[in-house]
Amino acid sequence: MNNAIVTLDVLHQGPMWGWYVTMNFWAKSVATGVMLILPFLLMNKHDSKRIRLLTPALSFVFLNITLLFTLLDLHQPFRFWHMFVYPQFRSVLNLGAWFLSGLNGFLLLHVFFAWKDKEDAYDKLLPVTWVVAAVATIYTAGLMGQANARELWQVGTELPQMILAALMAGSSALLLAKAGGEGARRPLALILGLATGVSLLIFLAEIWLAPQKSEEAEYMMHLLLSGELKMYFLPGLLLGFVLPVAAVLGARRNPLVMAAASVLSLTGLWLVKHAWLLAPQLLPLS
Amino acid sequence: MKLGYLVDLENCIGCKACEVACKAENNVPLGSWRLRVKYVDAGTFPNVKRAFTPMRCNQCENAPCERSCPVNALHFLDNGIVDIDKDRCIGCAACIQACPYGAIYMDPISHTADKCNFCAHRVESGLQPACVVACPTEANIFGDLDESDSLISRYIASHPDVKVRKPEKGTRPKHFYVAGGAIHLDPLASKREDGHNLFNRIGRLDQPVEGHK
Repeated sequence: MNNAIVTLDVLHQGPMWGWYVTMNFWAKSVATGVMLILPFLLMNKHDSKRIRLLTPALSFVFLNITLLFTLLDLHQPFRFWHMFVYPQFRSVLNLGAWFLSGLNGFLLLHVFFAWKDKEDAYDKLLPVTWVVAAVATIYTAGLMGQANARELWQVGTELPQMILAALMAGSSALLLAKAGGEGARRPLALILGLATGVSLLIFLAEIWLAPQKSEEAEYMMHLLLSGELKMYFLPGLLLGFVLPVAAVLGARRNPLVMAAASVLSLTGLWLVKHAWLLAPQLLPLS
Repeated sequence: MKLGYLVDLENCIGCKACEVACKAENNVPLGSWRLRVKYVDAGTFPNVKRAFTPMRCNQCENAPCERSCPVNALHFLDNGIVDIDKDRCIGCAACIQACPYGAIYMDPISHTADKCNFCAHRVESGLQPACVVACPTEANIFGDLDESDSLISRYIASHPDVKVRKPEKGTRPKHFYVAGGAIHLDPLASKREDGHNLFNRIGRLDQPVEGHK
């Protein structure tokens, strides 16, 4: 209704979840992504003490970056312990806190076992850690799904996008860390290319289909493609998705190109996730 | 007992007495609102109308805020009110992301989430919520929806145009409107931009209260 104008109201509050939460998502993608890829590398003869030690250590560092930004984003950070003493298990955020804390413990054990060359214990624990890392990857989709006010986050593709983001970030981080040496570069490049390509396709499908879903979704697509978030979303798609796919298709044997593709992928992922996080929060709800 | 609220928009004159009463009763900090009245001007001069819509927590039966709260700070009282334990709240803002009505805010003093609770402390003492008492036109009706003889139940039964906000969200609100049209209830049915406002800015805060950019 074009001739209806709000003439008196309170200011729209703006986004409550800003770049701290983007950092949380991004760092968690690296943390869980490297652990999701690790068994694949070990099974494909890229086994070495370096990869056994480096991967959980990398995951541990990024998981704690995730937890740090989670804590910083809380308005009562010193009450974080309430998560564990007053748990509400229907809240995906609460479940996530348990899984991330559990993963932290398992990662420390992996670092210890790798340090002490206890391969048997390491291999026995790995399936459990992998499952916890997988749940920690997808719990965010559940968290977004519980945000009943944010139409854009409640799409079914959010779950596969979380897994793909983890694979993108994990393979990029492992490529940059030169984990697994020369031999692992090619499979890691393939994982990066495939995950990025599929994720890009899903984004394009959302862009094409979302405006037909609801007025809210159409408004958010406008924000992402031509509104105030285009400076995050469009460069993010180009840098983090289009260029890395082109790099994998054209020069996956070139270590320098793959290192650049990894940096671009991590940068673009941050930008796109940030725009995706902000868009529905800019919608007036009342 | 299932307490509910109804606003007859035919009777609302946009005086904001409810808003002021709520602020005073609940010590709502400056810049924050548990209840507010939105004005929307519609039409083309000289055929213009101003629509007033009081907005507060919808006290949903299927409350997404209660479900998403990780520490049980948001909880149901026996009378159906969704209340918040501010001593338990960790300020994660998950409830703010979950509420499709934008009814929850981050209190800049306590650094916890806060919202309308139908003045649960007054209700417990047998009083009506402050906004109901303050309304000069009796546009606000509060009572037990389980009681077929209560004023609110009779009002709903006798008015075929009773609506709730965003029924498609499946939240089953216990806050009803009589004579509510799209410009009252649908936030995207009216333009929201600075330049057409009466007294204050209505765009967006550059830095949200208690938010991180």
